[in-house]
Amino acid sequence: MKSKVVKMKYLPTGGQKESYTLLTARRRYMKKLMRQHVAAPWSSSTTTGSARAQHELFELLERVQCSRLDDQRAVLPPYFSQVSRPTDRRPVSVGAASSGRHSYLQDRVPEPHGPPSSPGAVAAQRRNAAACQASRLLLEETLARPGTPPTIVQPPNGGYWVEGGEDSSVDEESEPRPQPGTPRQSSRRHNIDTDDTAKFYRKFFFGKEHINLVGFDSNLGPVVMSLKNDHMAGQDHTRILLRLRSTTMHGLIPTPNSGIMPSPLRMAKMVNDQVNVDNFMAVMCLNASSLIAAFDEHVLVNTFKFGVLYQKYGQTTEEELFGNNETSPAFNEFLEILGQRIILRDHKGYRGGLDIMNGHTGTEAVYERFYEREIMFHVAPLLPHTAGDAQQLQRKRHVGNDIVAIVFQEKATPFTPDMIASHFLHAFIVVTPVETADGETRYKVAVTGRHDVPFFGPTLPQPPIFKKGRELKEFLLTKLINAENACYKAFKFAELEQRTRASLLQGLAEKLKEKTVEFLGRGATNEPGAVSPQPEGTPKQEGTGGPGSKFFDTVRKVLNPKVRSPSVDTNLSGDSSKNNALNKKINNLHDTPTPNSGRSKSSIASSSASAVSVRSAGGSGESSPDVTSRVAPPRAPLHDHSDDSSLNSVDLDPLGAVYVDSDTGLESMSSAEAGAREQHTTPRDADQLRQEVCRLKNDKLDLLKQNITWQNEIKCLRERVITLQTELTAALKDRRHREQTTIIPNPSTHDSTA
Amino acid sequence: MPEQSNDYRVVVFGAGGVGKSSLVLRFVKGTFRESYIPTIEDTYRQVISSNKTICTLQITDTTGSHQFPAMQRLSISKGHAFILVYSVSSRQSLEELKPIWQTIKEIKGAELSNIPVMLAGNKCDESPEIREVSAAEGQAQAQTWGVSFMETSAKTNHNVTQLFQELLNMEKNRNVSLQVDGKGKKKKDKVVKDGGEASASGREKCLVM
Repeated sequence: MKSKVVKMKYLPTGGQKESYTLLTARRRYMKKLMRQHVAAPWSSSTTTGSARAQHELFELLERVQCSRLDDQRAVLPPYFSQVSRPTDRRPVSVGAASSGRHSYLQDRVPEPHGPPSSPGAVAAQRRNAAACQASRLLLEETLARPGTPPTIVQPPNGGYWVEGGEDSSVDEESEPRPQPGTPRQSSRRHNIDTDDTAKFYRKFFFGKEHINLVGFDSNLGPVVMSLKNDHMAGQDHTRILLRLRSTTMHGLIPTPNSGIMPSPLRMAKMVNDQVNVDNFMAVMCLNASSLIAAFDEHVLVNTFKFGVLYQKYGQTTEEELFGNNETSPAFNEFLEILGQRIILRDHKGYRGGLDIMNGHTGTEAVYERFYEREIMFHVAPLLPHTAGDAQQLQRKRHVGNDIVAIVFQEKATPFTPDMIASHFLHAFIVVTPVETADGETRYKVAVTGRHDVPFFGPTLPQPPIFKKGRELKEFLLTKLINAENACYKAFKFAELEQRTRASLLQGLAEKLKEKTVEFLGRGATNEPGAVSPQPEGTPKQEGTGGPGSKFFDTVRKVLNPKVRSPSVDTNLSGDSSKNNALNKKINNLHDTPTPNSGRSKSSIASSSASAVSVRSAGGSGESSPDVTSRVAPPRAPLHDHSDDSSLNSVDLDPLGAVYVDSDTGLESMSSAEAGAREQHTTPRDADQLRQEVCRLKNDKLDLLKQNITWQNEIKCLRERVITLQTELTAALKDRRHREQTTIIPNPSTHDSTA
Repeated sequence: MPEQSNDYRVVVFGAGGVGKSSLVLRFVKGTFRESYIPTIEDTYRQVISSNKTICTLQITDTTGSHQFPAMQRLSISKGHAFILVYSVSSRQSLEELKPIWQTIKEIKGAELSNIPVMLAGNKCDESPEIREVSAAEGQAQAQTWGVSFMETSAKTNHNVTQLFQELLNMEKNRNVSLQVDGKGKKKKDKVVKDGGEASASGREKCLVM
């Protein structure tokens, strides 16, 4: 012992006081161990006192390291863990009958309080370890007291709430009053708490006419909203499902009598006034409903798995609980209340992680269907027992991964919720058979849960005694399901769900947007259904609107040729022309005068040849005025489309690159003047057409302006052509003249030639 | 903890109680804990080198229960590399990996051939009478799936660093390595030798949560 004390002094951040507490606790625990020595076969593996002392020191060291979250905050000095290990393992494993599968009795930290802060991590760790020890001690003390022990003993440091477990003065002899729980149950089918919001989309929207909108809020993140008209109570309402990163909200708003619908943003604000989205986009893709329904329903659970443990009188450790093999007829009777005893090999329903093929998880289990939910029970005594394994891994790996567990006690004995070390287990229902005068089987029920698990119904009756029968089953199964749903709101699970939800919603919003843009192409940004103004895709109101965006649209269109905007001219065809259009855009006439003029000369020459009736502004809203810079390529793709995909290139930076374009030359100008407009595609709806018309009108104005510029340019070029031609004629004349003068010296020939 | 775009995300899957947490803890901390405490989900970070620059190795230790399928799918879709762990003393744990593998195949689709996946048979320190899956069977299973295979023991620290090292070596898109000095992947020998001491000092860089 002394050596142990000395060693403990050197533990980091270890206060003298703390080690003292641990030391006394250890002593008492060891005494208890000796008491139970016979009952615990595995403890015989370390027989010598010194080995045990060493053993326990190592346990302490282990325990100090055992909380994972703390481990992640504070790095233990390497020597600390390394020193113990080599000496630790060998003697233990040599002596062990169980090939090294030991459990250190005290080193578990169920962490009912959540992660302690990092600076004091190790100290807090030991405080937690001490807390476990302390609660076990409390259990023993409770046992030592006379009288019937309470069902649930709270750990001394708290962290759990209890319903119905502490009142040990229940008069078991008296006939229990009719349970208050039952009348409520009889009036409704069941009391299972359900989050129906997740089901609203499928119930109200799916398959019916509705609108889906997607947007991004700079603070709240992605927003996906569904709107639908519902006629209720003699008036039209708008049903709204507003999905945010944090949660989904549902609202039903009466439509104003004027019939004018508020904007999507305003409607969103009615449900949640924090929402601020300036760019709602209407979702236009065929399987949007399925995607949205899948997102909404990812939280719905219809299958449950609960642990069932058997606790004998006086058992205070998890090893004892998991180690129980023989139960009692009362336990089997209880299992029959819970559900059906099934043979795993024949089982076809939800298996809850149990093996239904090879019997690796036992031969039988308890399973029940309850109001369209499937429940699998992990009954510890039915799971395989592994000799020599103190932890009973084959049992704990099922029960320990359950969120809610039932503890069935052989008879009244205290249970404390932090007995079992697991990050999963958050709530327990403890059932104790109670003897009655008339010999009828009764059960006392108590409930406990971690402090961050909200209360879940149905409420325990007073006194919490049930007769064996249907009501107990209903109560227990409902309470179990509600317990699990409540536990999802506990800190650890809620955090993970939030993260999952945020990720899924982001993915959904992006996918819906992407599919809409893909489907509608350029029109997506000037989406027909949009009510709110679009900064990027605004139809040019005064002709100055987003040229940049138009460029991107055009570029996108050029590079994604299969996408067509509704107003695209029928003459559209092929990529090559689109590429030409792009080239055209890039080619800014102003800044590359020389090559262009050279080219334009030839273009004018060949313009007649080129049948490129590049009708300009025309049908598409984005025809380019940049018409004269085009040069007829020898192959001359004779298409008008090149216009509609080209941009208002006035603002474009010239890339200086020289491309061979399809010529639009003069014809285009004339056709622009003529204002020929072609709109070929089947009109979608009136709104869209109207917008198109607006857009086109604006474009026409622009193009006319550009027209003037280009015409001036053409005039200049023509003048130049004329000057060049005159020069050419003059030069030719000169040459002839020179030729003639050279011939003159020969008068004889001159006469003949004359 | 916000995710960076240059994180290298390794996700560890497997049935309950096979030793996922032990493997990860042994790798990240150098410690081993005998007692089994079921994990919900834990994430560890470690600085490693990638393409001669620093990046963060993010190891996600997942739950062995099938409680949260949506979360599992999300981990898979975001993961860059996977370790599938089973216990050599439990045949069922190898069986339980099959649906997980199916989900990974489904989510990753064609990219799967570029994704490093290791099948790890843990608890190889167990005595032969406890063992239920032989090394040959593990190897065969890995071959069927087209993944790499290794037997490990978190308890005795056998092949733990090698497991992660090998996984990183399999990454073809970037040159990820445990050695932050960027000297490359061939530092295996140095780490293997002393089975723990060097690995602890070589690996314990800033551990950011």
